[in-house]
Parts: sequence; structure tokens; C-alpha cells
Amino acid sequence: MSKRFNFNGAILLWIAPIAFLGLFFFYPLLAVFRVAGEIAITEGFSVDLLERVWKPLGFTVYQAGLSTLITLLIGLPAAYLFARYEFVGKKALRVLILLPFILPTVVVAASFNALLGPRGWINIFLMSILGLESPPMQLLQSLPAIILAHVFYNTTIIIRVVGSAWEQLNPRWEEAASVLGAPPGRVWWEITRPLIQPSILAASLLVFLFDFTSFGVILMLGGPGLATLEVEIYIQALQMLNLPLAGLLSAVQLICTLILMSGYSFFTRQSTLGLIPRLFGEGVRRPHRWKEIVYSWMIVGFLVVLFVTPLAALGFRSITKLDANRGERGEIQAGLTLDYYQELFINRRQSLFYVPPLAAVRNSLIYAGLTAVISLSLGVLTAYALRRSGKISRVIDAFLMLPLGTSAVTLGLGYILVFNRPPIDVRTFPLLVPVAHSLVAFPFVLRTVLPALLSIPGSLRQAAAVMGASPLRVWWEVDRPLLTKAALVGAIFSFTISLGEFGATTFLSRPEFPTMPVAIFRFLAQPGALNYGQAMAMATLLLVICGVSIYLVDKMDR
Amino acid sequence: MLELDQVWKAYLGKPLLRGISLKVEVGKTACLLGPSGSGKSTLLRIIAGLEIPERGKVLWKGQDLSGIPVHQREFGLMFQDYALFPHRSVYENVAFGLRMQNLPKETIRERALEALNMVNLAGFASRKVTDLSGGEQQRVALARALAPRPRLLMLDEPLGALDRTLRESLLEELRKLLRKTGITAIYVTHDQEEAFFIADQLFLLHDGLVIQQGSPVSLYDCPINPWAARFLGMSNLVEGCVSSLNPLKVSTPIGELTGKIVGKAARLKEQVVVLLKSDIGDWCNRNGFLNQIYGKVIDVVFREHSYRVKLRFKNGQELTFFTSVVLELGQELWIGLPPESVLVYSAEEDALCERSRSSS
Repeated sequence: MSKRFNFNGAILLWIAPIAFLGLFFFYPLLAVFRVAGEIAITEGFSVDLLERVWKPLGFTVYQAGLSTLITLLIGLPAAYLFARYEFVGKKALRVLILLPFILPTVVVAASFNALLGPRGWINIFLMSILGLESPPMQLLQSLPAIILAHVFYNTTIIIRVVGSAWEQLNPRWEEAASVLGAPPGRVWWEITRPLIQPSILAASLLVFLFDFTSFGVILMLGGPGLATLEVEIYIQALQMLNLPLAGLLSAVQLICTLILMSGYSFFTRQSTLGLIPRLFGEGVRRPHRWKEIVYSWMIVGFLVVLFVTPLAALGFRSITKLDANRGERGEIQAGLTLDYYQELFINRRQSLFYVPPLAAVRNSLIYAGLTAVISLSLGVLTAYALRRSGKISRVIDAFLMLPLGTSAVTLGLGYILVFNRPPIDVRTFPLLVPVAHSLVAFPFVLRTVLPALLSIPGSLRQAAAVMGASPLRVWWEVDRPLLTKAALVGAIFSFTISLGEFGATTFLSRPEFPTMPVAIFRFLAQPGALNYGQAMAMATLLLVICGVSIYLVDKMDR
Repeated sequence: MLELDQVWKAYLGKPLLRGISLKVEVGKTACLLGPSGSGKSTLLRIIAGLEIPERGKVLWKGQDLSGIPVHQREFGLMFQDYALFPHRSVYENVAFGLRMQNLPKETIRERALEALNMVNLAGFASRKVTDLSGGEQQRVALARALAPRPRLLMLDEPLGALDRTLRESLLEELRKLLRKTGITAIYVTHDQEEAFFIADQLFLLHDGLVIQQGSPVSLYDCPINPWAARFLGMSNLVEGCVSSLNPLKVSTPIGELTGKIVGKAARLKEQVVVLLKSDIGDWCNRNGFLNQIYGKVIDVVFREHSYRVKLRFKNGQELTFFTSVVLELGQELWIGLPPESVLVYSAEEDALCERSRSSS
């Protein structure tokens, strides 16, 4: 096979991914930059304009920094526990801490609402024991609520990234240091800390990046004066209809995330240097001194409370009816009910939508299915194209990760700017939702499929060809079966991402085609116990669907 | 002087060390010899304080060390995989222990360089440890362990990861260094040649116990049981039955042998195992030796200073001997062995050894 053939093959394979990314990613993105450039030129960098960028940017950095710091404070001791101790329920806890990874922001926001909100358990509890008629504590719409949700989301990242680096640290380095006379503090400072530092930095940057680009959590748990760049883009674009300013904010946001991402990949590369994997289980022991036992129980207890409480609050709240919610005086009467779930089937006149709420479930599932198909085809094609492209594939690969650094809100804004007339009009073309979701999911799918493809040794294909298989037959007999698992995992991943996607969807979904996250968001924004209950019920449904998806991925991975 | 008193330790619920007691003389090199999995490394880790024994004591000059944490024991330990700090240079690795003693900068520098000199790595101070070859890493690890002048140096299979030629030269160097510094050392290995080469005192570990101790010569002269004999590379074992007590005679398939009993006194008609030591000797001359056996040469291998000859006997058993005499393949001959080369062990003891070996 000549190089020329490979080259041509690569070009053919590239056509679809490049056309798709060009039309649905780079074109809208350029439009965002164009309007940002226009406003910068027409208004100049006036004090007013700078102020309007600086304020949300400042708050974004502030809340992200604070969230990251607190996440680290909780994550590091937990990472140490996972890396160095064997304890009862470690496996279960490992699965539990994975939960936040897959949970859509709306579900998390709804969960914290069920716990801390005016109709949440804490306020209900206080009202009932103190005999109050109105919720005594305003816990939502505050910085602590935002930070709490961010900690909930990102502690896992610290535990996973730092914990695994710590676990892979040869325990004999530390032992050698202490035999050489280093007291425990010095062992940590001179040996452990410098060796796991790159992974701490990488994990912190990743957490900071997620906190920096966090949208749904802040939109739903924050409030007046607590707008980050993302939320400000949303407000300016959809409420103030100030698209140029939204574009400028998007551009600022994009530049920031790109810087953060390159920092992250720099530290990730560093952290893989010099670590020798050790024998399984070496250096891991059961806590036996009382200090270790207290420590391990404290961490385990804290993690369980952190991860289980909000979700349990959500689940129970969705099946609990509170009479006081209906404005009745006197003692709060609580009872179990399925009313909220039944209500989801009914299309009421005063409904927020033109369709029964359950239609949102159907829409979400359809969108998610389409997303899985689009992103998987795109991912597989791109993986093959990358395999064929030789040296430049590394450059292209980095380029392809761009959607990862682009916030969904920015993408949504770009779509509004670009697709505002036939044939593709946001207002009439519901397919833009799965298209946007596919772009969000695409990097993940590629990251799943590409390694699987590259791990197929070329000799297998050659062996099949030598034995008389035609190229198509080679693909069918060799590639296809070996890629099936990765493709399925990628498909479920993108399915789940689509189910929970909120940022781009708020820009693109039409009232008659709500998705589950949009419906939850709208229910929560409305007054009344029934709306609240439906939000809880719908969020619980979404939680269950996502949980099942990830269970399937986990099962396949083994 | 280091002393272990009845040290017990279990690993994954199984007893690994079952009451180890030993004494290491000051300035001597003691060698813990045992098969892999016999708990040698664990014993070192217990002495270093990295593991806590379930029972028993570690004493240094009579002082119980159980309350003293690892970093205050002033012992040196060279790990099997060296455990060089990957983020530090060769010099920084060697200077680490000296820095922990809070010595003045110049002293640290002087002694770190001196230690590097000692292992012939004078020019390597600023190199990265990750760029070194296996043998160089081994020397850095040794220099790092020696630099703080520990009261006791422990070496855990220090040559295990190196290839054969490198091992031989490094072993020679190590032996010289240990003699020169006069440091008290414990050397752990599973290789009996290494152990015989380097040890002043040998401790043979089996099944969580020290089954034999003494000088290399005493161990070689008289292995305490058939297992020890096999482990030390002596494989000429023949089953037999005691036919006479004074002098001790055993009737075996290859003939009647006169020897000496090891362990408790033999009984008449007792089933025994006989070890025929295969030392280089003048055994081709049957005259003058009590034990005369007749066999056929089936294999001759030339070794540096002798021939290793395999003989087959009439019952089909094959035994190996060393000789300086050239023999022909297929040649049949009588050989003679002195009684001190024929060691007799109770068969029960051997069965015990075999059982524990197959269960482990």
C-alpha cells in the first residue's frame, strides 16, 4: 500500500467530520468572535464595557477559586484514604463517588433545592419543630450553595486523579526516607508532596475549569449579584437580547478556558513522569491505630453524607406531600404520594408547556438517541481518519478537543447568531439540539473509540487479508468486533450527556419541545407546591435514567 | 549488637515468621538465607521498624526498639528495587540521610562525596537517578545507605535485579566495602553462593524459623536436614534403612553405606535419608575408603577447576560428584567415600520438610 493511497483515504474519511465541525462548531464560534470584535471596535474598550466584562469575570474567578480550594481541602484527605487504606465498603464508596460525574446539573441543583430550598427538608424540619409558618432559612441563592454544589461535583476529581497518583507512588520511596532518618512531616514534604504535586495541580486546574464554566448550578442555585460569565452570557443573550455583549463575554470565556486547558494538559504530562506502578495492594493497609480508625470513619462518613444526602432529599421529596404547602395553617402534615408523578402525564391548561410534561421525557430520549447516533458516527469516522493521518494527527487531535473547552452556552449563542433564517432556523429546526449535544459529546466519544482502534494490531488485519479477506470483510471480521464495546460505551456516554445537557439546550429548545432539564428548570422557576413537586419527580426520573446508563457502561467496562 | 527475640509475624492470615531469634555480632556480616517467600524481607522491615511484629522483640545492644520509630533507629536499609528518589539527583539522594541529621552543609557535602567515591561513582553527583543503569543505581543506593554511617546496614537482595556478570563483580566490591568499613550488616538473599561469599554468620530460614545458623563452612559441612541440604545445592540423597548402629550403617539400593547421624540418635531398622556429599575428592580410588559404590558414568561436564560427573547406579538412581580426574562416558567404576561425607537423616524429618514445602 502506497502512502498516496493512505493520504487519499484519509481525505475521504475527513470530509464528514470536517464538514460537520465546520458548519456546526467553527462557523458559529467565529460568529461569536465576530460580534465580540464588532462591539469592541464600535464601543472601544470603554470603562462601562470593561466593567460589564470585568464584574462577571471577577466573580467567576472568585467563586471558582474558592470552590476549588474547598474541594481540595475535602478531596486531599479523602484521596489519601483511598490511596493508602483498605476499609469496609471501599468498593461501594468508589462507585458512590462516581455518581456526581454523571449527574446533570439540573438534577444536582434540584437535589440541593430539595435539601436547602425554601421547600427543602432543612426548612421543613425547622418549620415543624419551631412551629413557623414560613421557611426560616434562606440557603439558596447564595455563594455557599454554589460552592457546596461544586464541592459535590468535583471532590471526585481530586479523589480519582490525586488518589491514583498517590496509590501508584512506590511506597518504598517514603520508607527509604524514613529509614534515612526523616520524620513523617519531612517525608511528606520532601518525598510525597513533590512527587504527587503535578497531579494535585492538574486535578486542581481541572476542578477550577469546571467551576469556571459551571452554568446550570449557578443559574439555579445562585441569584442576583451572583452571575458568572456563563450566566451573564445567558442573561445578556436571552433576557437582555444584547447579543454583542454576550458574544464578547463568550470570547473572554473561551480564551480563559483554553489557557486553563493547556495548563491542565501540561501538568498531566508531568504527572506521568517517573511513577513506577507498584504491585497490587502493596502499601495499602487496614487502619489499625485509633487515630487512623477515627480518620477513616470521619472521611467515609463525610463522603457518604455529602453524596447521599442531596440525592436522598430529592428522591424523598418527590414522593412526599406537605399539606402546609397548600397554604393551610397549622401543623405540617406529611404523607407519601405519587401525585407529582401522575401530574407529569396531564396536560393542564395553565401548564408551562403546550404538551404534557411527560413529553419532555420522550423529547429527551429522542434527542439522546439521535445524539448517540450522530456523535458515534462522527467519532468513529474521525478515529479512522486520525489513524490514517500519520504525524499531523497529533495536531488535528488537539484541535478536535476544542469543543471540550468551549462552553455549551457559547455554542448555543453561536447557533442563535448563525442559524436564524431558513433552511436552518433555531426556531423551526429542532434537530439543532441533538447536533449541539453531539458536539459536546464528541470529544468523549473520540476518547473512547480512538484508543480502542489504535490498540488493534495491524498484524491482525494483515493476517486476515493474507488469508483472503477483502478490505470490507477485514473490517467486518476484525475491526468491528474489537470496536463494539468501545463504541457502545461511547454511545451510552453521549446518550447520558445529551440527557443532562442544559447550557446549549436553554438556547435552542422550543417551548413545544422541552427536554427534561429544561422542564425541571422551568418547574423550579415557577411558584406553587405542584410545580415544585413535578420538578422533584422529573429530576428523580432523570437521575434514575442516568444511573441506569452509567451502570450499563460500568458493566461493559469490566 | 542486634538481637531478635522470638519474632512472630503473619501475612494475610498465614504465619510467616514463627518465632525468629538471632544475634548479629558487631562488625560482622550476617546473612539471612532462605527461599523466596520465607519472610526474609519482612524480617528486615521489622528490624527497620517499617513493620510491627505481632510478638517478640528487636533489641539493639540490649535496648528494646519497639517504641522507637523508623526514623530514629539510625539503621540503613538498601531496598531490593533501590527506591531511589526519582525527583532528586544522585548527590541529593546520597545526601538525604545526612541532611536529616541536620549536619552542617560542608560536612554533608564532604560525606556524600566520600560515599560516592567509596562506590566508585565520584563523577555522578549531578546525574539524574532515572538515567542510571541498574548497576549504577545499585551503587547509588549503597552510597545513600552508607553515607549517614548507620549503626546497622541492611541489604535486601541487593544484587537480585542485576545480571550475572555484574553481580559477581559487585559482590566482590560489596564484600570489600563491608570489610573495610567494618559496619555491622545483615544481608538478605536466596542465593546460597552469594551468601557463602559474603557472610561471616549465616542464618538459614525455612518455614518461618531459623533452622540452622553458623559459619558458612559449618553449614556446608553439615546441613541440618535434607531440606537444608537440597537448598544449599546438595542433591545426592538416597533412601535407606539403618542396618547397624555402631558403627552406623545404612543399607541402600546402591549399597551399604557407613556414615554419621545428624540430629537425634538413630534406631535400628529406622527409615533414613542419606546425603552423599559430592566434594571434589580422590574418591575414584576406592581403596582406603569405607564406602564403596559401583556406578556408570553417564555425563561429564567440564567446570573451571573440576569435572562434574553424573553416575548412574544399578537401581537407576543418578548422583553427581566432582572430580579432577578425566572419566569416559559409559565407563563403569567403583568409587569410595569417607564416612564424614555420608550424612544420615531420619526419614520422618525429611517427610516433614517435604510436606511443608508442598504446602507452601
